[in-house]
Amino acid sequence: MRTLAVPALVESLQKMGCEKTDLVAKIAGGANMFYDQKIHTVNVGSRNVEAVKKSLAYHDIPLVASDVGGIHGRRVSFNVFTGIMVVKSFNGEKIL
Amino acid sequence: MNENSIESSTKQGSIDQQVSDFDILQELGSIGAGNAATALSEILQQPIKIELPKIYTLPPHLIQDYYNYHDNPVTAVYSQLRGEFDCDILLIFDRDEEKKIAALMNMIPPEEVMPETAASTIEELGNMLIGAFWSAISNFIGVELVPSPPQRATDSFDAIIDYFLIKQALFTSISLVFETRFLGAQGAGNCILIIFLSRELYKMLIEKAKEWLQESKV
Repeated sequence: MRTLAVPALVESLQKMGCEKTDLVAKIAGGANMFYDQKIHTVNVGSRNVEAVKKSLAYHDIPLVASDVGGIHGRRVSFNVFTGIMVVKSFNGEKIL
Repeated sequence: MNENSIESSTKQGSIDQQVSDFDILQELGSIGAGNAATALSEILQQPIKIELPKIYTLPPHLIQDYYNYHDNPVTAVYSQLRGEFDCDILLIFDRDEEKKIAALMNMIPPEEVMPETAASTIEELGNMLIGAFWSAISNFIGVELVPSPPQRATDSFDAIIDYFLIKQALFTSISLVFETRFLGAQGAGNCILIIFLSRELYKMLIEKAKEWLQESKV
């Protein structure tokens, strides 16, 4: 089963007439809220981040900004006109 | 589901079938809370009472709007089941309530509770309460359960619930919500205990619990 969103996203954008060479990426997420080093739980958040980065590299899409990892969840709003992404978390707000 | 469905799910006494389901949840709650209260009272050498003033069944995606805490910081303790059943138990403490409960457990005034003390107390309390609920569920369904060790996190209320909504997107689930109140000589404090479980496990829990209750009455 295919589990990566990036190839599907790229394919959809291309179907809508987007040139792959025009694409850039901003990513946010990958927190591991309940991560506990004492009991060596699998860090799913960092694995997700690595998988997305690998997939972007495979498609030659430059990663221009990111806010990833940590232990707090994020809420993202993305302005489709300006490309500005606002990331809100427990620690405050970041503009990417 | 809309807000009306919350209302109807909290007024479960109107339909016979739901009354009996609700009775099961009350029984589950009173066994879990009772066992945890006994253990806590023994450890602390003082009587601790745990009350469950409100019990609901809610679709998980309605919890955030129902409680309206949104960006408020909370501490959460959580344990998940390993194996064939999908089930998570989550305890959520508002910051002020966390302090009150830590004060109650450590027999000191709330203003003297240090963040580290509050964190370790909540973790221990979570271990006990969640463990007591796992035992109650295990007794009801007659299956030995292997839960993960409880883990603690601090984040906004919505971020904590989002974590579980994402996890549970993979299966249809229901949440059993127990509003929980700790009472001791030093005062009282509140938290919310939420059990997220698959509809299959919920059905099994209700069916087996009915048998278990009937047997225990005989």
